[in-house]
Amino acid sequence: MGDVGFDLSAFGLSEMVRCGAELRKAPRRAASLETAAQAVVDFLYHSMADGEGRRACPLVRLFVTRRWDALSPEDRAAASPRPAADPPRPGTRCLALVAFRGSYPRWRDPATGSERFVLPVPSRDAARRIPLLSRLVDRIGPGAEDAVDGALPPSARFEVLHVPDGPRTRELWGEEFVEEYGVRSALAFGGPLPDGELFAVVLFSRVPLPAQTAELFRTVAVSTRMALLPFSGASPPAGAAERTWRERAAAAEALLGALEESVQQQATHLETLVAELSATTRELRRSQRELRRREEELRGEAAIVETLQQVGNTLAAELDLDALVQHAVDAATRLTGAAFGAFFYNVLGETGESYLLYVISGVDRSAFDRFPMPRNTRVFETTFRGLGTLRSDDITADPRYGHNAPHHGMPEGHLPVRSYLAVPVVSRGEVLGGFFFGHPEPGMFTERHERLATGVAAQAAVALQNARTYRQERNTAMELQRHLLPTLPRVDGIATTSRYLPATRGTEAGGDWVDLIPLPDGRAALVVGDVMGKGVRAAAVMGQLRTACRAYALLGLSPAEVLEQLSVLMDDIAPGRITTCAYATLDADRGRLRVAVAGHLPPALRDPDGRVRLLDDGIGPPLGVGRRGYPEQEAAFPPGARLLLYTDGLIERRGRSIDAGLRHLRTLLAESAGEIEADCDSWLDVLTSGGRHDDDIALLYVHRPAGAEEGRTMVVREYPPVSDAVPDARRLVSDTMHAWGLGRLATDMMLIADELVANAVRHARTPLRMELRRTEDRIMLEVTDSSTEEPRLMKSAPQDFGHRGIFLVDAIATRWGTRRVEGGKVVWAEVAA
Amino acid sequence: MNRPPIPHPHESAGADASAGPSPLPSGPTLTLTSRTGPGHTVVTVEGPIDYHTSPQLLGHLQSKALQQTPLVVLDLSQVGFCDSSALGAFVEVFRRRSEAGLRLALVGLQADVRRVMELTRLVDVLPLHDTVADALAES
Repeated sequence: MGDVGFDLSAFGLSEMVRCGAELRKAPRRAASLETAAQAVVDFLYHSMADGEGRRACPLVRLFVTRRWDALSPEDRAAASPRPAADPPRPGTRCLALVAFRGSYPRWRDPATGSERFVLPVPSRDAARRIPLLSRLVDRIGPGAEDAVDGALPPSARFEVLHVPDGPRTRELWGEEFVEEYGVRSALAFGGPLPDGELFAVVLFSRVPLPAQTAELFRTVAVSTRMALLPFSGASPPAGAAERTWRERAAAAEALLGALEESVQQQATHLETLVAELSATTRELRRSQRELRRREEELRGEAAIVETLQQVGNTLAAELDLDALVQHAVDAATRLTGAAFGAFFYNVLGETGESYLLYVISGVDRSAFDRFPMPRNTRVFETTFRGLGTLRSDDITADPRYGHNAPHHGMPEGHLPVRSYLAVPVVSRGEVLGGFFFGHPEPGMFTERHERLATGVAAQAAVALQNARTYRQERNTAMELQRHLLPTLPRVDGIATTSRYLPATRGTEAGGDWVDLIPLPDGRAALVVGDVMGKGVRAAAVMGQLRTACRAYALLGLSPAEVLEQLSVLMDDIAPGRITTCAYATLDADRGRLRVAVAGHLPPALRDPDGRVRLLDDGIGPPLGVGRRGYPEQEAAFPPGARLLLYTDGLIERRGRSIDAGLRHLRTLLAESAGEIEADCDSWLDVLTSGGRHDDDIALLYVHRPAGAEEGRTMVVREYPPVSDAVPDARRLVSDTMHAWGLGRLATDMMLIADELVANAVRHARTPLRMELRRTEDRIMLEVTDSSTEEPRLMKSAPQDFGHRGIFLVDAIATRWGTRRVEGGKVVWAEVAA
Repeated sequence: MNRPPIPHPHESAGADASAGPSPLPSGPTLTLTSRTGPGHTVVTVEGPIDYHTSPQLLGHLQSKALQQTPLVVLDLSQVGFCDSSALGAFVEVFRRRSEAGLRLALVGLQADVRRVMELTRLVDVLPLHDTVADALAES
C-alpha cells in the first residue's frame, strides 16, 4: 500500500471528498464483511499522514455489532469471562472487533484479546472499558430492541466523536500508549448497517485533531457504510438485488445528506473565518493607523527636541544680552505660531537697581510703545511670580481676566489677543522674566506649542544666567584693570598715545600693561609688559611689576638693569609665571633711544623717512629666570621718528603666524604718518578685523614731532555726541600742546576745547570734529558740528546755571567766532602763542 | 503709567569695554568720599569736574542724606580742572541748599579752578574757604 495521501493536520473539504471516494473503492475485491472491513482499516491506516508525510495513525480498529446468538463460539469465548449462571440473552447486542491494523504490540498479543474483542453494548462494562465507543453506539441510536430487519431506521445517524489533544489523553490510554506512539487524539465514527446492526471505526492519531477536522469524518463514516454494505447480512434473502439497489439509493441519499451537512458546516465555518479575518484585518488596520499616529507623534517629539536643540545652541553661544533675548523671543514666537510674542526680562543696573525690559517679535515694537509695563494682575502674576505656564484658548474668557482698573483687560488699542500662552523664565528659583504669546484667534496654542515654549524658556533661563554672570565678571575685571592702569602722564617734546583693549570674549582681565614714566633728567621711560595668564592673579602681578618698574626707573637704572631687577623680583612674587617686558629710555633732546627686551616682541621703530625697523637685536629671556644680564640696544630717535611698543594680542591671530603678523604691522607702520591717535585707531581696526581679537591688546605709540612739522601741525579728531568726548578732547589738546613745546598754553587751550566740545555735545547733538592747528604765532581750535544754531555770548547772572561756557571762552581766547559751513557750523577760538 | 526708564543697551551695559578702541583709561569718573561729623559732612572730590562728570557730582550732592545735613563742605583740593559745567553744578547746589536753609562751603581751590571762578565772578557768590577747618570754624 503505502499511498499516504491525507494530511490530518490540514484535513479540509477536498481531503474529505477524496478520502470518501477512495474509501468506498477500497474493499472492491473483498469476499466477506471481515475482508471488506480489513480493507477499510488498511486504507485508513496507510493513507492518514501527519504534516511531514509520516503515518499519522498508529492504530485503526473497526467494530460491528452482532447478536449473542449470532456469534461464533470463538467469539462467545472471547467475550469477557462471565459466570455460566448468567449468560447473555440470545438477542443481546455485542460489539465485536472485526478488523484492526496497528503498531501497538499489545493488540497483537492473543492473551490480551486483541483479535477477539466482544463486549455487550450498552453495558456498564462497556461504558467503563470502552467509553468512547460506548458513547458512540448510544448516539447512533438503534437500541437493542430496535432490531428492524433490513431497513435503515429513520432515527439512525452517522456520528463522530473525538478526543482532542489534552491532559486527559494520558489518563485515557495510559502512559505507554501516549509516550511511545505519541498519540495525541482519538477519533471514533460509525453508523447503522442495513441489517440493523452498527459499525464503528476508531483512529488513534499522532496529529492533534480539532473538532473542526473530526466533523469532516461524518462523510467518511457514510462512505465506510457504503464500503461495507455489500457484505452486510449473513446471507442475502430473496429479492436481494432489488434490496441492494434500494439500500444503495438510501446510502447515496445519506451520503448526500452527510456531504451537504459537512459542506454547510464548512461554509458556516468559512463564514466565521471570513468574519474573523475581516475583524482581524480591521484590527490590523486600526493597529497600523495607531502605529502611524504613534510614529507621527514620535516624529513630532524628535522635531521638538531637534528644534529646541538648535535654539539652545544659538542661545548658549550668545553672551550679548540684547541679542540673546531677541533670539529667544524670535525662536519661541516662530515655534508657537503666535501672531506676536514678547519677552519681559529683568536686568540689574550698575548700582543694583532692577529694570524690567522687553523685546517683541512678530510685530513692530511701536505697537506696544504706548502701553505701560504689565502690572502684577491676576493674569500676569502667574508668569511674573514664576508659578507656572498659563495657556488659554481664550484669555478674555478666563476668570482671572479683566479685574484690574483702569483697563479691566487689555488697554485700548492693544493688539487683539484671544489665544494666550505665557511661560515664566526661572533660573535657580529666581524669575528672570517671562515669555508671552498672543494670537487674535481663539484656540491656537496646543500642548505641543506649550512644550516648545517651555523648552525655549528653560534654555533662555540658562543663557540669561550665563550672560548675566559673564557681564558681571567682565565688568569686575575691567574695573580692576582700570584701577591698575592709571592715566599716562605727559612728557614735553613727544606726543604719545596708548590703547588697552580687553579680549573680545572672556571675562577676565589680562596681565598686559604699558607705561610712560617721565624721568628727573628730562628723559622718559617707555614700558610694555605682559604677564601670562588671566584673571585677578595676573592683574595683581602686573600691578606689582608696574609699580616696581616705576620705582627702578626713577632710581635712574639703565634698561638692562631695570629688567634684571624685575626678573629677580618676579622670582619672588610669582615664581614660574612667564612674563615678558620691553623697556626703553628716550632722550628726546639728544634723539637717543636705549632699549632692552625680556622675551617680548621687539619694539617697532619708524624713522622720519618711513623705514621701519624691529628692535630685535639682542632679546633676553623672559622675566623670572633669576639674576641675569640683558643686552641693550641703542638707536637714533630724530625728530619725526615714531616708536611702537605693543603686546602679542595686536598681531597674533588664529591661523596666522607671528612672522606674518609682524610683517603686516611693519607695513601698516611704514604707510602711516598721520596723527598718532588716528594711526592707532586705523591699525587696530585692520589688525583686529573690525574689533575681534582673542587676546588682550596693549600698546604705546610715541611720536617726536619734526621741527619742520611743528610750524604747521594740525591735530584732528572726530567724536560722537557723547560726554566722553569732553575729557578726551581735553587730553588730546593738552598732549598736543606739550608735544609742540607749548605746555604753558595747555591749560587755556584745554578749557577752550572743553567748552566748545561740551557745547556741541549738549546743544548740537550731532557727530562733531575738533581741529587744533598751530601757525607761526597762534593756536587755533575749531569744533565743527551739523547744527546750524549758533552759540551766543550771554552774560549770565552769577547765580544762573549755564551760558558760562562761551563766557569763559570769550574771557580766555584772543578772539573767537562762528562761521557757517555746508551742513553745519564751525565754532572757533584763537589764542596768541 | 509708571514705566521704568529703559536705558539704551550700551548705556545700560555700563563700562562696555567691548564698544571699541578707547583711550586708556576710558571715561574718567570722579572719586567722591564723604566724611560726616557733627552737623556737617565733608565731601572730598578727586578728578576733573566737567560736562562728563558733573552729573555724578550733582547726583551725589543731592542725595537724601546730604539734603538733611546742615553744612556740606566740598573739598576741591584734589580737583585740577573745572569747566563751566562744574561751575553750574556748584551754583545749582548752592541755590537749592540756600533755599532749604542749608549751607555749602567750597574749600581748597587749586589755582586753575580759582581762575575760572574769578573769570565768571563766582568768587563773589560762592562761599569759598581755604581749608576745611576754616569752613567749619565759621559755623
